[in-house]
Amino acid sequence: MRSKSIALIGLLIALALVLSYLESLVPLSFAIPGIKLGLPNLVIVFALYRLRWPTAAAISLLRVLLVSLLFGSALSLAYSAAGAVFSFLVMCLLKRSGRFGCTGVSVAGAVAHNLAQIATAALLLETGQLVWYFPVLCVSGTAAGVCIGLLSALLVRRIPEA
Amino acid sequence: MRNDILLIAALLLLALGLWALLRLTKPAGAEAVVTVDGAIVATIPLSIEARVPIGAERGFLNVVEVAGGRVRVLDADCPDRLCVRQGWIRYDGESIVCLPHRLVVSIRGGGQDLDAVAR
Repeated sequence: MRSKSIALIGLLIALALVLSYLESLVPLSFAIPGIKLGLPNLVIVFALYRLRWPTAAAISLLRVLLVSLLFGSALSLAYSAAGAVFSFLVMCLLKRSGRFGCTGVSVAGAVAHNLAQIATAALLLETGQLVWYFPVLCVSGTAAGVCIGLLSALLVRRIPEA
Repeated sequence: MRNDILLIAALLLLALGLWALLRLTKPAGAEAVVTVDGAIVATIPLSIEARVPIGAERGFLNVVEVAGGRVRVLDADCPDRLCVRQGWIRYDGESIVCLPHRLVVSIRGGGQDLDAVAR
């Protein structure tokens, strides 16, 4: 691995960390837990389009691990990891299918993230009644995914190939 | 880009459809079931009026209030108090979740429940 790409990966992880922290400062979930913008996904989508997918996966996993170590708990690690892994799988598959742009990939990633977190919560709390959250989070996730997708399309277009 | 818009439309339709399905199939509930860590700690019929403090033996407090056929978390000492802000629920299958205390108040009875629908 060239030192330039090591530096780039470090930079992207640091950026994702800062965005996670920024997002935790602006809670969007008033009545319904789980509504969020998904700012760190900006970095993941960018990495997915500009780096090889294993590198993007490593950035996503390391971000989740670091955020949980710094600001979270073992429980929040379970939620974040489930969300991050499932959302990354979905985004990676959609991107490689070649049929979707940045926005579609990001929207699918956001909704997959919410879905995985609801499923994790349903498992941990042993209640199936959390399906009630899905329609709401599906809409909020789609909206957030569009914002992040348009932004990352802009980034991928403006920032030259490394 | 066309596929992206189709995907977004499909997701919004899915949300709407699922919401409508859940809404149409929910009957009013008969009792509120309070669980902590998945274990039932209290079952309160919705026909009475009551304020039940939960969690004293575990070192936390959620006051569950039943009145007028509805139930809510009246007060709690969890850090985010999201359970209190979720307000009243009355229909079968609805629930209030307090993640910090791993507490769930859910309504059941009064007809088929969600599991029956899923089956």
